Amino acid sequence: MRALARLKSLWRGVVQRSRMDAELDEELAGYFEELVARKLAAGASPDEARRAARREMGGVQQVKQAVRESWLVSSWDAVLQDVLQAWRGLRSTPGMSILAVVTFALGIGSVTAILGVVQATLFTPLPYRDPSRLLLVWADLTAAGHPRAPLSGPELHDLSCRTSSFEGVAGVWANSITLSHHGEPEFVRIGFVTPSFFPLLGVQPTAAQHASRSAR
Amino acid sequence: MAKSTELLRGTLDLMVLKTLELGPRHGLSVAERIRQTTAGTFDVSPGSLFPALHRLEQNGFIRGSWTQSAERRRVKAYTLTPQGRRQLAAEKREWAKVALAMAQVLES
Repeated sequence: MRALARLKSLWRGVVQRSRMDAELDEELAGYFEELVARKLAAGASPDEARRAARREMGGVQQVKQAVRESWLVSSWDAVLQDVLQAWRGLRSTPGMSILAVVTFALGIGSVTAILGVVQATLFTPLPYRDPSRLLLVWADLTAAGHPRAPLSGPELHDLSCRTSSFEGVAGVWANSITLSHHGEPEFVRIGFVTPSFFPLLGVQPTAAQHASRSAR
Repeated sequence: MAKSTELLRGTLDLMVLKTLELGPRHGLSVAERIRQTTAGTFDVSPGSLFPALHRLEQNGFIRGSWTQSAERRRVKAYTLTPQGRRQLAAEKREWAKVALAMAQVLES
């Protein structure tokens, strides 16, 4: 019940501030009129009554300011008390609290992990030079049932020699093999690349030496 | 109540709750009632009264509603809520304890 009243007053404090101000004005005006009525009943003239009432009332602006401060203070008190009460609640039922914390931790953890993958695959730019200017070129062999087929060697050669649309052209033939040397055989992704491949992407191969055009 | 407002803040809240125990009253009526019952010792100014009323209302101890005064003017009258009634009982007990303790200290 008490929390409900606090919530309502907090809501009023935030949203209905102008209405509360107007009501306060009206309330204080009513107080003043009542005061005047008392003076009149006691036998004062209308002028005297208003003057005396004004004197007793004091500064209306100060009164309003004090009331507004009380709104603020009780709102913040309410928030503070709710936080303290929540903390005491957690302390009094440690099992339930731990369960809640673990649930939150698992939830937040899994969401973070998924977001990490999504971030890395969808939002992070490719780690190459000018990733926005990289294009993939495919051969259109729709008639043969392959709308995206790799270019042949001669086609690639023509593309790099006879067109000026690209700053550079490189070829990569991706594949996968089973690597068996010592111990466990391993399934690895491989790619055969043309010598221009690494310079075009602006990266250095981690191991092995850079093949040169003459080594072809 | 010009002086020692800090000390008397809790006291004023208690007095307002007690004043509303027997029925709804508007602001001026609360102030007058307090002045009468304390034979003028506590003359509550609007600057103390209205913050107290609004504080109590925000805490859910009293509820204000617009009604008509005896002279048919629109006034905001305050009613004690059930929660305010419990608060009044609790504060009365607390105050009795403090008063007794003070008396014991002063008479020792």
